Amino acid sequence: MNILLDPTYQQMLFDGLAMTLFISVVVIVVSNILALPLAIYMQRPKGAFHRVIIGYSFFARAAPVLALLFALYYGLPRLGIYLEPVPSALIGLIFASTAYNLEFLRSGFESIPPGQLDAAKALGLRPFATYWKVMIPQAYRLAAPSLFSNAIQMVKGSSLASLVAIDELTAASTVIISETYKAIEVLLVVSVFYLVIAAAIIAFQYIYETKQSARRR
Amino acid sequence: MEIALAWLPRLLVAAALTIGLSAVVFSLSAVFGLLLSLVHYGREKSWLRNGIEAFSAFFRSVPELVVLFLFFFGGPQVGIDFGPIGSTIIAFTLVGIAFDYQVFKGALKAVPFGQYEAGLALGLPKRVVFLRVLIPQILPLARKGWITYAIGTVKRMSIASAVSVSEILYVTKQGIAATNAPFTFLTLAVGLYILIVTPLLVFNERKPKQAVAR
Repeated sequence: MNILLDPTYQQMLFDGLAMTLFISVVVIVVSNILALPLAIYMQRPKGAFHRVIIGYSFFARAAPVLALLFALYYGLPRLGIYLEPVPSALIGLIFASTAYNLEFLRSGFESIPPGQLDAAKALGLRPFATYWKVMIPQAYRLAAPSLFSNAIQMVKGSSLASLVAIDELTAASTVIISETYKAIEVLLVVSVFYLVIAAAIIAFQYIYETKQSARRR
Repeated sequence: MEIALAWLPRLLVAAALTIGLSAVVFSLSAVFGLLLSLVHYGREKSWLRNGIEAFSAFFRSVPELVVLFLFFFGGPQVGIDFGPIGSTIIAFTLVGIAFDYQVFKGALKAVPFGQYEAGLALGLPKRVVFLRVLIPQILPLARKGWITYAIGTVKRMSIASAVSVSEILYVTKQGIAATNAPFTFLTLAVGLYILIVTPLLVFNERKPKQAVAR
């Protein structure tokens, strides 16, 4: 375990952890922000972009995340677009994550009895108020478990960024392993970091769900 | 186009490897996931169940890539060389068991516990109650979650390219490096993944025959 007391390696692991947290938070926040308007749009009578969104969602969920990251990392420079590795990986992960969140919210909205929309209309609620006060809270309550587990998936997905030249936690571990050959020690420490992040997300979920059930009473 | 045609045979071999590895991983995960979900069935407190839950939590929270490295780099450190394919099968199966265990556990909760007690009261051996009463009811209930995870398994197999398993994405990466035609190759790769996954998706959308626990 001596290598883990080495300040250079400690620094590398903490820098990696910071990058993993940064990527995870950005991906989780942005993909949730993007998914909501798309899911609401899908509830409206068929519009021009329905097929585009369905196609996007199918493609983003059918392609492996790593293939998306490779497409941006190796593909964009071919088109003359030169992005730094971090924004390029963020785009790939957000692209994938948004599609999942969109589907979870969509099925959340679709599980709400359609009579509620009619009832809201009959009460004279405007469309905005109908969504804000009636539809969105219920859709989130139904989609919450899936959205939280997707958040954990995205933290795990951020480890793939190590394969497209980003120095996050997993990348830091491979560098240390190649210098010290202490794979098990390093990877177990890294696993504990990921476990703590996942536990934090599960704790958030628990808090959210207890608040929800308190509000319903 | 010519590049694509020249590389197609290698990509198809890679696709066969992806299918083979996925089949091994999701069969093993399903069998062991199901068995683990039946361990100490119905007991209020069980140290064994707590152990299984901890195992499941660990392998569901740690990235597949890290688990894969743990066997690929960690194996030789303790004198066992699992090799790229061996590490891939072990790592992905462990993660798969962790997920499938949750799926089957959820399905088992939907079957009233009284059925198990009734079976035992009728003098049926435990094994028969599990095989003829509980499992036939769990499988249709668990199918959706289980197949969804199986679809993910095919896609996650791409991660094995990191330890030079020559599955689809690994050959794709070689192709990109050799020809500098990233989009041709990535389009082919994603096309192959879609082809492999579509039958599973269609199967998953079909209405199950006996989805309701009686």
